[in-house]
Amino acid sequence: MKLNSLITPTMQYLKFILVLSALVILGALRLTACGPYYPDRPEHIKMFRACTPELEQQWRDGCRFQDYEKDQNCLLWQKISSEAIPLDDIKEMIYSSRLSDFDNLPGGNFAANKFAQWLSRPENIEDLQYIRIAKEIEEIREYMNNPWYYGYCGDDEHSRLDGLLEKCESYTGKRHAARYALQTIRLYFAKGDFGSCLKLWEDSLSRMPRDIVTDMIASYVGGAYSRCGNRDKAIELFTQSGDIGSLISMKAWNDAEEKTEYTDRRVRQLEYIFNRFPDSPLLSIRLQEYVRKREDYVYVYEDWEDRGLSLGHDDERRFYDELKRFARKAIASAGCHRKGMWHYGLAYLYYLDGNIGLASAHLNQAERSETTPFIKESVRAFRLLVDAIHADNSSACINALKGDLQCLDEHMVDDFNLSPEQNWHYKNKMNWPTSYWQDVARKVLLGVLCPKLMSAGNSTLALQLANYASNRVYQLSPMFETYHYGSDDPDDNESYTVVIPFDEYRKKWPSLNYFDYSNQFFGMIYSCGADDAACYAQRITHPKSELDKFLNERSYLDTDYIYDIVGTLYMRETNYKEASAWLAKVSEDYQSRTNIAKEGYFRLDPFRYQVDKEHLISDSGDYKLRFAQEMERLAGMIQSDTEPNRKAEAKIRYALGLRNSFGKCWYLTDYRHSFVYESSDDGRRWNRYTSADRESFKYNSFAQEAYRQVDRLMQEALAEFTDSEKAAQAQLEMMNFSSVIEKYPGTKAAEYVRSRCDSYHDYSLQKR
Amino acid sequence: MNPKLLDNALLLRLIAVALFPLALMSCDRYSAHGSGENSIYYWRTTLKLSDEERNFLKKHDVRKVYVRFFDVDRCYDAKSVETIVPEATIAFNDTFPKEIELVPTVYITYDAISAMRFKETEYAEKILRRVEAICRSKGICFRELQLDCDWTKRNRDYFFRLCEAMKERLDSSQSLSCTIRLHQLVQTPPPVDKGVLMVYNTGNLMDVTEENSIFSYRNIEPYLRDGRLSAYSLPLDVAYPAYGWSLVYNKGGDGKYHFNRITKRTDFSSYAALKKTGHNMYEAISDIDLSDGNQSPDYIFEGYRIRVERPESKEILKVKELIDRKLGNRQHNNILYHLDETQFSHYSDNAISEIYSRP
Repeated sequence: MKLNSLITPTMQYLKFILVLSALVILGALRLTACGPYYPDRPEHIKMFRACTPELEQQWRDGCRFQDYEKDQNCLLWQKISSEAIPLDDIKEMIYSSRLSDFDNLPGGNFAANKFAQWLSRPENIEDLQYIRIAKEIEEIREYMNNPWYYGYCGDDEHSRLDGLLEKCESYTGKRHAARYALQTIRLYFAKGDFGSCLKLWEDSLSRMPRDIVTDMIASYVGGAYSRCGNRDKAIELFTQSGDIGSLISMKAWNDAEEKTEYTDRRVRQLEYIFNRFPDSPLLSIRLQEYVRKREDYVYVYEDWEDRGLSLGHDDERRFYDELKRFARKAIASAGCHRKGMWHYGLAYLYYLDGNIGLASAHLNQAERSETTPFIKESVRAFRLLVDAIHADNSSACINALKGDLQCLDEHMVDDFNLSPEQNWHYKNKMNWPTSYWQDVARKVLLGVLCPKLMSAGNSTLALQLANYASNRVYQLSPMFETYHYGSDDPDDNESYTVVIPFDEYRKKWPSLNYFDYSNQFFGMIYSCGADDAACYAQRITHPKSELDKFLNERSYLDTDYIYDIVGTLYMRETNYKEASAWLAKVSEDYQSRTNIAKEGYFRLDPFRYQVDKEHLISDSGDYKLRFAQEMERLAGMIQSDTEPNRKAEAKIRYALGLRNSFGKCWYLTDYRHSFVYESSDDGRRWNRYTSADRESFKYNSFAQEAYRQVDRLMQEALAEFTDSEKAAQAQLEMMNFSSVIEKYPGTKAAEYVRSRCDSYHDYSLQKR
Repeated sequence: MNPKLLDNALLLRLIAVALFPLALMSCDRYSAHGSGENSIYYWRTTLKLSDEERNFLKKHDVRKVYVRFFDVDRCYDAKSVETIVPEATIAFNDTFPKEIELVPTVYITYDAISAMRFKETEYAEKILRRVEAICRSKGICFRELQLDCDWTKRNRDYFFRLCEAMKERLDSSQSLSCTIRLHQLVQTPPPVDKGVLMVYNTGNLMDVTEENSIFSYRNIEPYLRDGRLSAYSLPLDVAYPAYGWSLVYNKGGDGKYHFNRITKRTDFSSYAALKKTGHNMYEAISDIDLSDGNQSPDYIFEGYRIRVERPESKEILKVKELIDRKLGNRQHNNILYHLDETQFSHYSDNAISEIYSRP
């Protein structure tokens, strides 16, 4: 529900303050529970990566590495067809085609596929027949696995499978003997006929030459042995076939490694797998799982432990010690061809321990050791992180930065190498693990380098890098999925999702912009001084170096957005001259696309003593600019006007503007605010007890300084009036009724008070 | 879907249509009677009839049973190949007497029908194929298929398109019926051959102040005003409740009572920890376990309230009299919901006969 629709003219003050608070909390920066989510601490982004999500998924889905099996199978097909046929063509026909596609060969969808052309030749009819049978079995099984299938003995699917089993059993050729045997075994298995599985294996299949097909048969037969209670034979066949998933499910390592030096079950399992399959992809999955768990612990739970919550710390420490020991043993093993992965794992674990020296040493080893291309990429990312940790603000480091950024950016582009139509599928791109290299950019730049540069005084470069790291993702993935909340629409209560270009979302979307006032770049510039922000703004509009140009091309450089921030920061510092200058550069229509305008602010009169919605201003265009200019004008009058009453009035007006810009009109100096009242009475009477607003700003040093100035100016002004009527009028507006009566009894203001008050009194809380 | 399989299915369908007259002659396990027949719903996940239930069917000359075959619901499992799936398919551990006609009934959840938008034809095909497969496996020849769905104005079009697609797929000797809830009476009738007006579950079971969420004259009567029944353009049978249950409410942090669960038990007279606070309301004055010891625990905690709901035959007959009057001379059958021996003991044979009686 859009909250500002709740604000009606008849609404009571209590409702208004509740809504106001809610708007501020929900709208300006703090966002709703369903996301988008708050910026994580970028230094806590998990970056260790030893295997692809697809590999992880394969394992999770079926405890198998189907990609490996598929690749090996395709190699076998290539061997019996032709080396000239690309493996991708074979893979496409074997794994992506449907049975019906084979009806149309050599035409149809796969006319250009070389393997399809080869299969279409009359001399290869035996191969085609086999593939058709395998496809038919696969498609029937697929259909039978669909939840809509209602199976019963003798139904069409069962009958067809029986017919196909007969065909497989009756194959007498040699060329595809193993493949037909695989289909036969699968069908026996599906029927629960384990005895036939074992008989076929023992009679003939066990003597077949070993390849991926017989390995797959062995895996099924191992399952059959297991079901028939022969555990040893099952383990033997699972080991032979490399079916680690089945070995794990049988807990095969429990009694196997009697001489193990490890006490932790997880490390013992790693050892068992490593000793038999030293290059198994499962090792990378497990290593990733364990290192990421450690990352979780270091980034999330360690604080809890400090507060006395035990998370089995000793056990975990022993586990990681053993894991490191095992990694070193793996590196020392002659049979290991993935030493780089183990060095990388060790380096990252030492980094998480805070031991950057050992981390660097193992990282150096990882870079030089044998491993997969995928892990080499991960090592490269980790190198960027370690270099950032060692970096400083020296010109050498800054010069090296361009090369690193180039590398980082190329990887980010690769990650998002999708067409714009496809590239919207991440609903929430803000500080979310959208892609690995985006995470790397955020961790390295936002988490390490930017804070270092900021501390070293190079806020301009820090902001440039922060902008790049926060916003590059929107260039690479320019579509955004957002929501229309149906409750706004009286004719159609259905909410719906809409996918729009990000630029349109930023500039035309009528609801809140969740990103630009919440991302880490915004957080960083908002925490800067106005002069630093102004320097940054100057630099992006007048790039000086190749690095500037590189970053400019890849950042979000909406000058309205940047200038508005700079102007607002100057207002926060009460430098109205500079604020006016920067805000004057913001285009007129920008204000309407800010969240603050969308939430219905920019309408209260910032120069009133009583700021309430009974006194809204009629023209709120260029609200901030007009305020800054008026404050600048008043500051000039305070400085130079010699007429005491005019000067006193200018001081009061200036003081009110200053007070309100850190009060009800907080959006002049800020992008978010949540009012906090000491008591419910204060909350209910928020519009009257404006001084209670000060409680909400007690941690805002700019506001505290402003309040001191306000009090001083008010006191001075009241003392400086020479015209008692004007002085009384000022006191009246401040509701200092007793002062009006006592100090200026003969004035019209005093007459007014006497005519309306039975017993006048001051509202002490309203005096400021 | 595998086109080859579709081809086969189509072929089977054609054969089935061609052989249907023969099938009717040879399929003797279940047969139908003419108009004016007593019917009942069977709404359990396992088909198993007790002697009492068989006696009931015989005693009341029940000729037709609407058997819930399966539910169709949304599937939110990301790994599932289907987003709308059949669930809770009935297990046939028994058979109905051969003279009874079975009407396969499919309950479609609100979420499922909402998700069927623009895929109604696909799901009509899937539902029918599944119903046919179940029937083939059990030797059932069905003449009527019923869809049960609490559609609203928002997803009405989807349900109607599903019905249209289903009708296209049924052969000329088969009819399609659907349930009609009272709130649906004011809307255009669905494109089916017949409706069954559901005159139960008429109240809000979530509301602790509701008198009887299953059935109450007060809740039903307003839906029957303005000549809605007599003007309803679809032939209607009427389904009345013959069941009861108890609704458990717990007190929330806001001091209000919140619906907790339904329990089948309706007799609490032996529990001292339950204090009767109204004619059908109990309040727990201490914690108790309603399970019989050999079931899993069924706790009622102190402060919980239990409302026993069982429509009284007197009130059912009062509503029936009103409906018969409103339907005027429109011929209709009466159906009971649902076949369950534990429920019938609460209604006399005479009352059941009166509910079944046709004007």
